[in-house]
Amino acid sequence: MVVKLFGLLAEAAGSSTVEVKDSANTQALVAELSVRYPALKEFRYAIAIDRQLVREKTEIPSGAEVALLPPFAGG
Amino acid sequence: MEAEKTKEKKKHKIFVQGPVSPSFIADSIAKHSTKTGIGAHDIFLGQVRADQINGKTVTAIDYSAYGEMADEKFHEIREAAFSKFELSCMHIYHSLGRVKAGEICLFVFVSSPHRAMAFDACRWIVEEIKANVPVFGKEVFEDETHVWKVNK
Repeated sequence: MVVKLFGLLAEAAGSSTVEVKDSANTQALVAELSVRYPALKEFRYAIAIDRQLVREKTEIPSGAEVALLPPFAGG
Repeated sequence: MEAEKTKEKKKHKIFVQGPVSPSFIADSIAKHSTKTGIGAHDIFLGQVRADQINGKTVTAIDYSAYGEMADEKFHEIREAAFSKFELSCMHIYHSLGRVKAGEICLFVFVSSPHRAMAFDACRWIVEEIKANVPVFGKEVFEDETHVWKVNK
């Protein structure tokens, strides 16, 4: 699955998307990311599934749009 | 009339490339002279601050966003603002790309028949934007090094 990255996360990974093994839920995704992209472990981020922030362990539907978001800085 | 309003809401673009210019703001104000049910406008302008960080001065912020999610969030904020407050109209513009210190990066413009609603709505909308819209800012120094901004 493809995961979108923004801001300092994209900078840390050197890319605005990363490819990881399909993960059934957000917990599995975080574990997979920390193995494949250890640089991301340094940062606090939120996960959005289909453009909605999820706070607890959440199922990731197949084909969902998944993004990692660093802290917001709008305005 | 309802259909017209919906159409207008959909085509409203929030992100602008670079700073929001003072003349754009002035033109926006002028456009409301025909809407004579309005008795009060309130405007919030966010300006890029030349913060000192570790002895270096911020000269600009480079804004980026998760565009599709940001558009959805702006739409939700807009819908919620119209149901929460008695508003005649509202406009939001946010910069993308580079905005120099002293330039405007956020323009929120609300209009209402009376001042109390305009004040309350404007503040509420600005706080919602800061907390919920996925916009990211890179604070750039004179030497082109940078740090990533976090809203407080």
